Amino acid sequence: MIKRALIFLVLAFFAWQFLLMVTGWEGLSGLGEIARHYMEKGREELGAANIVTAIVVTYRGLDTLGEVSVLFLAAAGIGFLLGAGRLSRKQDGGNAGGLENEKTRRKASEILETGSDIVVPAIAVFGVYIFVNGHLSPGGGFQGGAVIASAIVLLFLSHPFYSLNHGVLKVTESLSGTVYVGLGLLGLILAGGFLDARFLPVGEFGRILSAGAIPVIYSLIGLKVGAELVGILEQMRRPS
Amino acid sequence: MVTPIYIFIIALGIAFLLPLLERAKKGAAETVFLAALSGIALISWHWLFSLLTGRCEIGEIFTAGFRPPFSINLRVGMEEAVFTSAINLATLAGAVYLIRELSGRGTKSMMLYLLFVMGMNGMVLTRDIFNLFVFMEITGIASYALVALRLDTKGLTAGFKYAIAGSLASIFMLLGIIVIYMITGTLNIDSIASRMVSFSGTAAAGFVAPAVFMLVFAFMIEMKQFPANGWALDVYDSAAPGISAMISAGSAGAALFAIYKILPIAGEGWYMAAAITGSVTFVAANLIGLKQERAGRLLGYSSIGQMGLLLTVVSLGLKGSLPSWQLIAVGLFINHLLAKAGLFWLTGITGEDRIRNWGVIARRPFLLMMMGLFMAALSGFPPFPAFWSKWTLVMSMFSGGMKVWVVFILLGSLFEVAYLFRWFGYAVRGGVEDGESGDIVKGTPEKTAVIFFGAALLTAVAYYMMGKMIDNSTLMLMPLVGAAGLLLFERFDPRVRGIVSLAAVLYYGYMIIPGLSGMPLFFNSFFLGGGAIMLLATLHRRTASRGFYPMLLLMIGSLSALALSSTSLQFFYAWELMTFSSYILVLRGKKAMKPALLYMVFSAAGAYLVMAGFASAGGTVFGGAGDGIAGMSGSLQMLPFILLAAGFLVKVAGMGLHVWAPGAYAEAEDDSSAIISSILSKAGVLGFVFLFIKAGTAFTGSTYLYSTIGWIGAITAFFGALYAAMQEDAKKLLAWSSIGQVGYMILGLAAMNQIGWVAALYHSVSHFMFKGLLFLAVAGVVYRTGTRNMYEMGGLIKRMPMSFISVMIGIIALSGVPPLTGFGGKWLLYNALIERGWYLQAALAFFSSTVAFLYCFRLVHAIFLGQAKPAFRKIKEAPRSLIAAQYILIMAIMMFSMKPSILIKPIMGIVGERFDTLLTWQANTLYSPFGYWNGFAVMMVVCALFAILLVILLLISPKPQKVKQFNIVFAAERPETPETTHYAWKFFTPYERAFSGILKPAATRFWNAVGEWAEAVAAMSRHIYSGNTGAYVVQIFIFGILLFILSRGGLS
Amino acid sequence: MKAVLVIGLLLMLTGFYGLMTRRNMIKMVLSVAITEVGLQMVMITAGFIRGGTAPILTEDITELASFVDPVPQALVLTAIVIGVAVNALMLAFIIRMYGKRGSLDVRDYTDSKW
Repeated sequence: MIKRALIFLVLAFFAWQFLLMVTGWEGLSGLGEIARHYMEKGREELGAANIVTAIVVTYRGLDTLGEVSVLFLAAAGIGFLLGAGRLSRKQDGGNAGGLENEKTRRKASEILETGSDIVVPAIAVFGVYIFVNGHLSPGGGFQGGAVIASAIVLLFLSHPFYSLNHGVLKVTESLSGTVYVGLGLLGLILAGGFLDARFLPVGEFGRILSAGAIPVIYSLIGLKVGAELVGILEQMRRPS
Repeated sequence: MVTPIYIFIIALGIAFLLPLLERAKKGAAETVFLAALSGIALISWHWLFSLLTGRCEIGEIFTAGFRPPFSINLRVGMEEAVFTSAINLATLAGAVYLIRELSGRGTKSMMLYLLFVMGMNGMVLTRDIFNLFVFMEITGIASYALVALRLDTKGLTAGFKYAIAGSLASIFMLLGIIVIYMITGTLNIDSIASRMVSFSGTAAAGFVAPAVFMLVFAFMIEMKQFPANGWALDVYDSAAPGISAMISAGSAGAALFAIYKILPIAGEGWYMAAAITGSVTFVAANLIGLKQERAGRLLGYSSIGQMGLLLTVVSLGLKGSLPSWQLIAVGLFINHLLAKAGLFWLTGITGEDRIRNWGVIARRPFLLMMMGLFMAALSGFPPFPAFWSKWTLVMSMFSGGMKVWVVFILLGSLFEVAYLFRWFGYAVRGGVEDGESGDIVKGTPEKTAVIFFGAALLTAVAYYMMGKMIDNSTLMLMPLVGAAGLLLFERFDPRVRGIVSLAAVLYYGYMIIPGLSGMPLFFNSFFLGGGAIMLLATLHRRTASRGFYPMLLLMIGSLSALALSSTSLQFFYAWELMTFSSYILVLRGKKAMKPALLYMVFSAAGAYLVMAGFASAGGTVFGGAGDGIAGMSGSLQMLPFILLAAGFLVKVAGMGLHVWAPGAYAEAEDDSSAIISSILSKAGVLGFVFLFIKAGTAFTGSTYLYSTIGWIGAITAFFGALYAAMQEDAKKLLAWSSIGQVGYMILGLAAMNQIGWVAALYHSVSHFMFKGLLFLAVAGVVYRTGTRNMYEMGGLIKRMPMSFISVMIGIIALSGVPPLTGFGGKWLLYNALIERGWYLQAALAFFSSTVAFLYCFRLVHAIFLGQAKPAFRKIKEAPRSLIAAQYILIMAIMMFSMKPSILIKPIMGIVGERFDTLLTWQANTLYSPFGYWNGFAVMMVVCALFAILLVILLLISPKPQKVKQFNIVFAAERPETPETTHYAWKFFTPYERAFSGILKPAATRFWNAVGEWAEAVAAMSRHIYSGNTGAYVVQIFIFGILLFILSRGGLS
Repeated sequence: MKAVLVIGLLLMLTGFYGLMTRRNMIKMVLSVAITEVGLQMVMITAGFIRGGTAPILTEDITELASFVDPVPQALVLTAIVIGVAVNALMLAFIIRMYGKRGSLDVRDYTDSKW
């Protein structure tokens, strides 16, 4: 009873705080200082059409590197938690969660199997398109990587006994990350600072090969994110 | 300069590459991992070193080639360099410590660790609020997984709880950040802070306030503030100790730095709320810690408490009401970082979570020593950084008028001291509860090395801070240098160590005493001379006595430093050193676990009173510069005097505050007891002397304050004697007697006239001689008989005649009858009291002296007279070194009794012109306004009378007849404990009945009740930490509401 | 735009409620996820400017006022990724814990307390 009252109190309090925010909310009437700078100067400074990408990859590149690290960390953490010996140690006498998973796994239906065989390559290509064009159109490495991962999910569903080549996954994950950091370092050495994409020419506005190293970096991010998400899914799917 | 960006490049580059090394040669991944951490550490040290030596300016690093606020920038200033250096050093050491565990879990755990370190660096370095969030998440996610390093249910659960709490924090943080971005249009911390100010009072304020609240709330969760910290406790409790060490030491520091950057954004209205939250956390965590029985969780409570304290310091510092707060914060942080990590590491080595079983560590003297060192550091004993920080903190707070804060901080510190030293007591004295874990604790070489490294680093920082903080640091360092030097001799025979210590004390005295005059001369001669004699007595030791001589030397040295101190800080420094070293000496006694803890807690409380006293006087009471209390304005004079006097009363075991003393004096090792009760008890007397000199008699309330202290002295004298008479245990008897005797000294000093002071100082020397003599004689008897109960002895006069003579001389001197020194002291005291007009006190003192006869009699009667027990028929005289020390004391007593002028004249010179001259010498006769005393004449008369009586007795008495022991017939009943039928058993029961009304141990009961009450509150409060994640979530939200209310209160 | 804001904040409250009342750990993680979705809606709303379009430049556009603020969009991307990562990690914890004890009830995991 006391707990209910407390929960009610908490909800009432935060509802009140949120209400204060809503009533005071006027919305932006114009761009703020840095947003204005990005919109005005972004094109000439970095040559990217998609300003969000310019911000993500370069202006706030350190955030994005951190973001990639977070994903990488989560993948490592999950791999660490769900890695070797998951079922061999049941000290607490619980039942084996993953084991029945193995028994109940059955073959996918014909429609799903055939359908996915057609769609999966297309989705994967679409994912690649999204991150390669990240500096020009909506999308980017994270989105593209997620799309690629979604293709693999479909693969997992349609081919329950399909197993991935872990070596390739691992090498992709490692190398794309390392090269990303290396490109950042090149920015530090050749251009204005760490993660400065302008050590490659800015190029002609609107071209695939423009905006300095942004498309390269975003592609690497795409690969890395894809590999990591797939790795996470694989870990969670794995019965043991 | 190497740009700190390389910290991130190294960490990420290596972390991304590590998986590829999984299949490489064994050890390759480990080598690369440690090399990366070393590289990171080197970069931060490089900056720290360059900034310290002024070789470079503050580093502003822009990423992406754009200037802030358009890109994320980093800064390395002094503060950042200090924090990253400390964190990187600790995490590097922690990695070495953990290397086997990490390596056993594969490269993934190393990647996690590496990014954990990187995240903390980022939290410190970044100047972008959203980037700060990202780095917090990196640190957080890495720690969630690392907490579950051992993959046990406890660790997994803790990791889950941590993740839930962390998610909540990040949700509130993001909500705050986005609104702040909306209204300021920037994410750069420096530009936000300046723009936020303009919003107070405008229409947007209603919209901004909730967001700011949520931002602060998020950081408060990260700072593990009470009561939203159950999850954090479970984390400390459940993770592998090596990981807990890193979370407690490292990420807590990074979180502190983050909130230091955030609070200015939140605005000044939040400083007070944050400071109050921190203090409440400090007190609550330490209070609840009192009840904790498990090492990991105990350290968790302590960590959280320290975080609270640091938050208080930082918030008040930002508020501008705490001068030199950076120094305080850095000192506290580094101290916490190394000491806490060290203790967690030790926990990992022993593998024992229940503190009751920490006796396992006692067989590894090195580890035990490290534990003692970390305990001392964590409790703020000198010379460790926290000592200087706490001193500065309390000084600053008092000068800023924040008295209530001081009360809370000292209270929290006291709780912490209590549970830490409770644990240490178990480690030294506890043994092992269940027999199975009798195996010896054995750390791997790298773990032991890391612990040693941590301790060495702590010492180095301590040395650095000491040089900066204290005047004449070389002199003040001498006791520690001496003790450390003696550690080198630990492997030698105890006698060699004893002789080296003796030589050290004598040499030090020889160097220092000729240059002194006045009170420092008196007390130094007293402490060093007395210490040397007592050291001589310890030479009989045959046991290993590890750590005994260093601590003894440290205690003697710190007493000397106390007498030499010319500033309040020096005094307090020496005072705390003395407290710690004497605590260890007490703890060496076999049954000393509880008495030692009581001693520590009371000493710490007394020390805090002293510190508060100095602080309330602006830190100048004992300083050469100020006039002390008399120079302060009228209304301020009473507080310092009362606080200091109360602190010193604890030390002299004034009635009501004495409950620690009987145990501490009696339960220490036998020769230590002699030292502690004859020498150490004078430290409080010294305190009063210094205080009264500086205070004078012309300040507000002086009349009744002095008379109160006088009364306490008289009452202490009375009850000390009374309790002494009721003891069966010879050492307890002497302990109570010491308490009573010091009461006379206080009474004499409080009289504030020349005779009183001469009486007190004279009595100090005299008490040292006879009490040392008695304790040593009893030590010899106990050494031979193996018991301290007097009714188990008897008839020892024939076996131990030398000891008998010692006791005889001792009690004659003690009881204050002519012709020995005690008489002179009493005579002077009565003169002083009558001169002052304190007739009632004089009467009580006189009555106490009569009571003293009762126990004096018992010492001779029960131990030496009567019939010897069969078991003791063949025992030998006490060891030679003990006897030698006793006879040096006897000679001194005889000399001073025959010719009191050689002692009293210098004392009169030392007391000097402070008071009206009342005492005069004519030849060998001392004249006071009320009479005269010629020591030599008195001696002659008494000896003559004694000789005459002896002759008469021999002439008239018939030949004595011998009676066998125990030849009593019990009515068909065989007593189970025949000793209790001994005539000396409960000898003074009639008196005990007569005094039953006032013999109730009221003080003991009172303090027991205080202790029990504190424990009960702790036991009750800790139930909020139910271990249920759902409940923790509710607590976090409730904490949010409380924080909100607090901030409203702070704003209005 | 206030509608999106209100929906976002309501989602957050829903998440808070779920987090406080649910005993099933998976549901607790879902509550966190719901809260995060609500938060992300609020974040996106924060960058909205009436009449603005996506901040993607083309050759012929010169009028800057017609764009919404790109920064919250970049931030929300980071927030989403971090949220996903943490939630995945929490689920991994749950999988492992379930393997140990065979229970999803958070009350069965109170080994360390007081």
